[in-house]
Parts: sequence; structure tokens; C-alpha cells
Amino acid sequence: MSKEKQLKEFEFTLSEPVTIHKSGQSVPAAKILLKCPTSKQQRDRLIIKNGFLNNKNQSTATETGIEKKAKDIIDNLTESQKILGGLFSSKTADEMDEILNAFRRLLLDGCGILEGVTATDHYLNQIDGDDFDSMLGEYIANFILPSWMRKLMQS
Amino acid sequence: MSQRALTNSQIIVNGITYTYVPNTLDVDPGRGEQDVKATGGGGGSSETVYFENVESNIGCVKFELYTRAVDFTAYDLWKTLGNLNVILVIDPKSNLTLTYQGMANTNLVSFPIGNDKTVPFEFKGDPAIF
Repeated sequence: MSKEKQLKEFEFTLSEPVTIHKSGQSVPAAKILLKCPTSKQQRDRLIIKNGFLNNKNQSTATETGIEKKAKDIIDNLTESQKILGGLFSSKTADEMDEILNAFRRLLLDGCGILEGVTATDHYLNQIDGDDFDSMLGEYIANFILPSWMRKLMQS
Repeated sequence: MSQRALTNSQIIVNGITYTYVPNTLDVDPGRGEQDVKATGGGGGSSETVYFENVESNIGCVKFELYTRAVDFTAYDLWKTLGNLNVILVIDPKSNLTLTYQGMANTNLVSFPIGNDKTVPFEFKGDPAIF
């Protein structure tokens, strides 16, 4: 069985650029580099992983017999969109708040880089809410899901 | 109609929010000094001449912090960046934002250690954008 190399980082394009401070200027940043968490971010990584894995055991929208048209839409969603849909449909607001806060702390702890500048609260506060949710979905799809799949394949 | 004064604005330096000693924040938007002098035209006539002293077109932000461990790290970064600091002064209730680019921490900073001791910081740089 070949070992796929773990993706270390990927870039997410924001729908609305945020203003960051770089080299003495206020400049727009349209992309954020998301980095794979390390053992340093253990607690926050586990909150997100646990939130996602607990969701895997719950029924998805396709299993509840919805209309074919809605099913077709869901079948055309990206992996990250499906992950987000599953999370939001199965978690309470408090649970999602905890997962999103853990994700935010990961970004502040070096896992979020805006045009070469480490993310701060001020920068993250400017990000559109939907963008932030989408970033979480992509983060899980690119880092948490492959990690979980690898463990399943190794067992 | 009653107006509201700016009393509790937010300071953000290089994207990081800092809490400061209340009532110590002082901002100069950097529009400089101007002067008006009169010239005589004879026969009782006169005309004014307007001067702009662009030497004084410098944005300035001053505030004080209590001596805290985190401020040593911040101070070190501000000095290291030279004139590449960016400061935002934001008043959330009135939506006023002053953006200062190219700011340098210019004063000689010492950290008094003891009860109720504060550290003054002064930044100078480009005039404010607002």
C-alpha cells in the first residue's frame, strides 16, 4: 500500500479581500494560506477532528429520502461543501461555535497566513462569515479527512 | 442635539489590538501647521498670505501602556520594524478609523517597574488616512 504524501498547506481565495498590515502599508489580501496543524495545536485539532468524526456516524441528507432534485444538487457538491453541510445539519449552534472557535485559534497559532503575514484577530474579523465556514470545510477535507482515511487504511 | 466625544478608541498596531492606559491616547492626523500673515499694499490696503509648513505634516500617535511582559515583545517588534509599522485608531461607536502607515516608534522607551507605572510610546510617520 503506497503512502500518499500528507498535504502540508493549501491556498484559499477569499470572496472579499481583507486589509492587512504589511511592510508599513495597509494592503488588501485576497488569499489565505492554510497550513496543516501540528502537535502544537493538538487540542484545537482534536476538537475539529472529533466534531467531524462524530458527524460521520449520523445520517446524511441523502439517506433521509429527500427529493431527487435536491439529491442531485448534493451529489454535485464538493467534498468540503458536503462536510460543511453534514456538520451544520447535525450540530447545535453551540457545538458549531466551539468547532469554529477551535479553527479560529488554529489560524491564529500560525496555521493561517495572509499574503505572508500571520493571521491576527483583526484580520480574521474582516473575513466574510460564509468564507470562514468554507475555509473550515476545506481544512477538514484537505487535512482531517485524509488523515482519518490513512488511519483506516493502515488498520 | 447632544454629540458624543471619542473616549475609548481601539488601537491596532500591525494587526494586533493593544489595551492601553485610559485617557492617554493622543492622535495627530498630520495635517501640519499653517500660518497667515498680512502684507500691506499701501494706502491702507492689505492682503493676507497663507503659509503651509509641510515640515510639520507628520502623523503622530501617542499612548501609554502599563508595564507588562507582553509589552517588551511588542516594543522589540516595533523598534525592529523601524518605519514599517501600521497603526489603526478605531472608534467603534462612531465608525471613525484613522489609518497611519509608515510609522516608527521614535521615543526613547524605558519600562518603570512598580505599582501603577506606565510606559509612554510615541509613533511618528505618514499623515493619517480617514
